[in-house]
Amino acid sequence: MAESFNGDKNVLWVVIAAFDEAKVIGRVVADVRRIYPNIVVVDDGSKDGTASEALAAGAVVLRHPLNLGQGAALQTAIRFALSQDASLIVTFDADGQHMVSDVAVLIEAQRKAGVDVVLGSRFLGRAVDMPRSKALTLRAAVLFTRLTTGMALTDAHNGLRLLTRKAAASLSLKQNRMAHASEILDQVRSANLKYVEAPVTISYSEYSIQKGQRISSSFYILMDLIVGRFGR
Amino acid sequence: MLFKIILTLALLAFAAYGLLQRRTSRLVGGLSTFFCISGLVLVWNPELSTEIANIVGVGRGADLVFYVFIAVMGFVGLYLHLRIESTIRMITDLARANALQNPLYPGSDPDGPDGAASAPISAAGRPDRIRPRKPSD
Repeated sequence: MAESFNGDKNVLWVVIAAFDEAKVIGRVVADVRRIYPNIVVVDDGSKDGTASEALAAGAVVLRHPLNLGQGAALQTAIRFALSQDASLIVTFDADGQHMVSDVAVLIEAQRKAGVDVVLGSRFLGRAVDMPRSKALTLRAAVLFTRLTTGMALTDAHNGLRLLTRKAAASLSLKQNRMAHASEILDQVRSANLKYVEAPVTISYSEYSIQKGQRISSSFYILMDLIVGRFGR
Repeated sequence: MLFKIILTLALLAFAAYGLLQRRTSRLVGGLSTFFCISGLVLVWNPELSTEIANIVGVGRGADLVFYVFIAVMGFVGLYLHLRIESTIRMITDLARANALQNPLYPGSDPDGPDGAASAPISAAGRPDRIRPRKPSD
């Protein structure tokens, strides 16, 4: 297996899509790096110091010259991690609402079940200070996923997930923006990848709620998914 | 009469534009030219629309023109959507290729020559920070 830029064996890469996250990205990268040294942050056209902060904290940074969306940034990050011979890839949110300790939970779940994809679930784990409206929207998303993919999940839009190399290589995200979460599930099902859910903790802060999706985003996600299917 | 002349000039201009666009897209150029010429015929022979409407069972000529207009707008909307999607896909691929070719490693300066190649594009459409690279960079 090839060696990574910092000399470590390239087993696991943590990939983070970030847009205007200069306030928190340094702390998030530093926290992850304490355990997992291989981190790539895709700065998705930020106008603040996201790239500088992520670099200073020790991540490899790729920059989109303009804001394309989280789905596009994740696809870029996954492509980079694969080029670094990653065998496991973990997608991690930039806003600091994930727990680094949960990455080990995902790895353990993957090893135990021998699956291609491990999906984090805040409803199997904990959702700290989650707004009620967010909970309702997520429940609706679960129902939508059940109807459109047949996948019986408890949490359809969790940014914390683990992909094996095989799964990551089979993903080809066309949804640049937030509809990518549903698209990933759609592609997992289409490619007959084995998956399992694992309990994780999402800790909402004023910052992450402000940065996160609003209920109105659901409408745009739905439209993107419908138009995306039509355009294929 | 004045309105007919204005419509005729406008449709002739569209038809000319459609003919010019045939090099880019035969389908779009051909269809737009066809609809412009059809429009011209109907502008000068409005009773023809009623005759055609009776043949196809619509009733009034104005209704037929309205239905065709709706259908054409739907086609135009779909065509534009597909073109925009295709353009977004190309922009995404380009941005991704650029990002993957210019990774920044810890210790490098995103505001320096290392970062110039992947610097964000400002609202004016130009990179915020472009500095000429020295041959040794």
